[in-house]
Amino acid sequence: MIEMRGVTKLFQGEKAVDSISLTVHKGTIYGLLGSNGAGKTTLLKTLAGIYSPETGTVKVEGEPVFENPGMKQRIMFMPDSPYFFPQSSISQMAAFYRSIYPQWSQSRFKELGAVFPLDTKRKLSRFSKGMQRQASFWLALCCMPDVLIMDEPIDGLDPVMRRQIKNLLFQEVAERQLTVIISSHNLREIEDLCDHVGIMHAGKMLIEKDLDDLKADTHKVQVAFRDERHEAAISAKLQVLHQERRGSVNLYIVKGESERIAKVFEVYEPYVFDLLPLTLEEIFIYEMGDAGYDAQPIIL
Amino acid sequence: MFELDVRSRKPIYEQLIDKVKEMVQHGILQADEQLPSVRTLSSQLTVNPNTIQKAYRELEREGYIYSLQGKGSFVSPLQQGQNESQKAELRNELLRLMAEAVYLGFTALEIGALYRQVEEQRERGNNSD
Repeated sequence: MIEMRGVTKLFQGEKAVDSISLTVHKGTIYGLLGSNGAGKTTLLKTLAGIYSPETGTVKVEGEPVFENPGMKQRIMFMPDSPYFFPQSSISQMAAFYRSIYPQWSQSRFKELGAVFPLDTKRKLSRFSKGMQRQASFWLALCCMPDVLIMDEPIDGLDPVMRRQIKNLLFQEVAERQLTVIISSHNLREIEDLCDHVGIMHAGKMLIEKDLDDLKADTHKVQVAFRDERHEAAISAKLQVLHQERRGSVNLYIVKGESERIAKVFEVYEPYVFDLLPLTLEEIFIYEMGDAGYDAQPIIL
Repeated sequence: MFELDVRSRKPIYEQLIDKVKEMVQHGILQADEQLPSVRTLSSQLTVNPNTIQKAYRELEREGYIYSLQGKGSFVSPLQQGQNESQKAELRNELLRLMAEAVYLGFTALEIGALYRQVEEQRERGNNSD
């Protein structure tokens, strides 16, 4: 279990992460989402024990992470752009990781050779961005970490490789209860990958929840009422996050269970009534809108 | 054996629950038949194992499946209660279709004829078995 309590990290007096608490249970895949500059990378680096927070604590299985080599041997951090030593090849990097991570598995390194079509003797600097990304996944999985923290790992991978890597991660989660923390802007990917999500904005955590609960809790309703007066009654009975009028059809974003929402609307026997679960992208956009960050209707 | 619609808005775990229920009700999954393990299903469908675990837990809570420690999940023999809830769901569905049929000018006689048609088809199907 990873526990973060009241963590604040300052950069030149500016709060990159502002008193954030978060809990990630063993064996979960946690997706960290957020606006640009929300502090996702800072948060991940603090979790990985790379940064020391100004206030608050970060503990993995009850132990602090910062400057704790014993714990760090069980954590793998994958930065947003892969880093390899200059002039090194995959086999040289493998030798390095083997010397650092005691759980390194040489047999797995061989097995995964079948998955990643990369030349282990070639210099990594001569690989494309996507191939470098593949190489860092390969190396990370061989380190057999208990916690895998990844900053924007999906960028640059082709769809086949994405599926492959997803499958490998799922196996690790199912078999050895690997804990995965991943940040991304690709909400479709996160939606398929994660079971928990946290949404950040301006250094704060807006929501943190089980992904399915989050989706089951907010709904999009399209409705055409028989009488305009019915409209006013709805907002009194339900928690409406957002409301929009498109011709004679009203669009609502409503919090609550689908059955309860349906009951409230059906009383008025509307002409049209459609209740849809929200996609993660919609949840993200409405939550950001609530926090005062939304797309401005500017036409250039 | 399962096909999921990843582009659907419906959460994956709900899709899984509905699929299993449907297969149990249609007899594709027989009583006491073993369901694929979480691990197998996860790699077959490329779905988060925690999501599958959650769907299985929910199915177990609703009595559709049972699990044996260390052996896996199995289909429960069909119970009366499940039939009732299924009927209630279907009743709503029928009402909606019926409303549409009435609107289009179907008569009670025509709807009755449809009912008999299905009955006959079913009998013929049973005989050929």
